[in-house]
Amino acid sequence: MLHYLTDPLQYTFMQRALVAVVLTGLACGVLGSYVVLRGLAFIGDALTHAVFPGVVLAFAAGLSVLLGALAVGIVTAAGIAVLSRGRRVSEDTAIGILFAAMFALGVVLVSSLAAYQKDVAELLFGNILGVSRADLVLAGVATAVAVGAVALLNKELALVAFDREMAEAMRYPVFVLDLVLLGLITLAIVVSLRAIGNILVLAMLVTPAATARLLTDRLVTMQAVAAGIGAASGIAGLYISFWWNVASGGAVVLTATAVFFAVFLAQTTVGALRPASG
Amino acid sequence: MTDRPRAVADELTVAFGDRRALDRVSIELPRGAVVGLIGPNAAGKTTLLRALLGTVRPTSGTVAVDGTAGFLPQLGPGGWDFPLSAADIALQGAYRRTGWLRRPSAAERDRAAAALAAVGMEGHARRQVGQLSAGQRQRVLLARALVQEADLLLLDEPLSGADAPTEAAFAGILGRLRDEGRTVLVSSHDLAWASARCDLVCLLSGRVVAFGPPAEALDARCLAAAYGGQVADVGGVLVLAPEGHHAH
Repeated sequence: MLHYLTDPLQYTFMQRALVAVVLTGLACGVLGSYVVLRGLAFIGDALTHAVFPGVVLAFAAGLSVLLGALAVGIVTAAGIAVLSRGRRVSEDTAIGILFAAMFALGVVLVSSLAAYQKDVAELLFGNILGVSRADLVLAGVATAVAVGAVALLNKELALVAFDREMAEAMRYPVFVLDLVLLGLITLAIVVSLRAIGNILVLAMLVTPAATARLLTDRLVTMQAVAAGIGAASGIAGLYISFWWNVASGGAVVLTATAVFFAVFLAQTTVGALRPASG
Repeated sequence: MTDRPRAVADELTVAFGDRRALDRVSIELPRGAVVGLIGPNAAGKTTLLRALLGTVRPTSGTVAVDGTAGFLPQLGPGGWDFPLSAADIALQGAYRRTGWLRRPSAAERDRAAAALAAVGMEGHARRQVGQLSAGQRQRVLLARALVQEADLLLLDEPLSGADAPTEAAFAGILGRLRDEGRTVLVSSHDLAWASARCDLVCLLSGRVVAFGPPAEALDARCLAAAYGGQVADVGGVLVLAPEGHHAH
C-alpha cells in the first residue's frame, strides 16, 4: 500500500509539485480567512483574473511569470482601493471594471502572441509538471512574507475587519491596512498560480477557510486549520492527480471541496464537529 | 483640578455634499459629567461624536478635546459572526497602548478581564460574541471602551436593544466614570433614560436646540422644536410619536 505514497516521490517534478501545493495551502488558508470573514470573495476572484496580463507579458518577455503576476496584481489591488475610496464608484463597480479590463488585456495580449497560446492556456489551469526551482523559491518567499505579515499585523487586520469604525476612531490607517491586505492576498494568488492555475485559485482562498470557520470560533485557530486543510487537500489532490492521471489543479480543488461538504454535512445531520462554545 | 472643559465644539459645521449634518454647533462638555446627546434620526448625533473623535473633519468651526477619547460605535448585525471572543474584543481597547507588531501584555489582559467583570460579563469572556444577546454585546463594547482608559468617552446609542442588567451596568459605570472626573457623551433615543441618568443633555437637530440640565433641555417646547411636534405629554411623561422613533 505504502508504495502508492512513496512511488511518486522518486520523480523530481512530484517533489516540487508537493512543495508547491503545500505552500499554496498555507498562504491561501491564512489569507483566505480574511477573504471569507470580510466577504472579499469577489475581490479575490477579481485579483486572480487581473493578474492574467502580467502572466502573459512576463511569459512573452521570458521573465518570471510569478513576478509579472505579482506586479500587475498589486497595481490592480491599489486601483480597486483608490477607485472605490470616494462615494461615486462603489467597490463592487470598481472591481467589475478593473477585473474585466485586466482580463481583456490579457486576452488581447495572448491573441497577438500566437506562438505562446498553448503555454498560456497552461497558466490558466495550472501545470504542476512545470514547476521550476526558481518558481519554488519565489513561492516560498511569497508564502513567508504573506504568512509572516499576517502574524505581525493580525490584531490590526482583525480589528479593521470586525469593527472598521472603531479602527478609524483609534486612528489606525484603515485605508493602508486594506491595501496591505489586498497586497497579501495577491501574494497568496501568485504562490498558487503554478500549482492550481489562474481560474481555480479562488477556491483555495475560500473553501479551506470556509471549512475552518465551521470548525472553530477562534480567529488564529481558523487561520491555522484553514492552512492545514489547504495543505492536506493539496497533497491528497496531487496524489489523486498522479494515480488517476487527471488535472492537478482540479483534483486539489475538488478535494478541498469534498472536505468542506464532509464537515458541513457532519454538522448539519449528526451535529458532530461543532466548535465548543466557551 | 481644573475648570477647563473636557471638550469644546465651537461653531462646528459638518456638511456632506449639499447636506448639512451639523450647523454651527457650539457646546462645552465639562469634566466629570454624563452628558446625553438626544435628537431624532439624522439629527447629526453620530456626526458630532465622530467630529469629537477626529474621524470627521469640520467643514467650518473647530473641535477641541483635552485628553484622550474612547469610543463605543454602533455595530451592524453582520460583524458579530467574527470569530473573536468577548475577551478578545475587550482587549482591542488596549491595542494603541500595545503598539504595532506586539501582543498585548499580561497587564493589559488583566485590565480587559477587569473591564469585563465591571460590566458583569466575566462569566462570558471566552464566548464568541455572536452567541451573546444584544445587551451583552453592548456591555462587551463598553468594556472595550473602558480598557481605552480615555478621558472622554463617546458612546453611540449604547442602550438600543439593551435589557435591564445592561442598563444597570451602564448606570453604575457611567456614575463611576463621572466620579473619576471623566466625561461621557452618550447618544440616545431614550428621553426617560436621559432625564434620569444624565447631568446634562444636549438636544440636537442639526443644530443645538437646547443644552443644559435635563429638566431644562428636555422641556416640552424644546422637544417639540427638535422633533417637529412628534412629542406628546402623557400624564407628565414625555412620549415620542412612533414616526420619530426608529431605533436601530
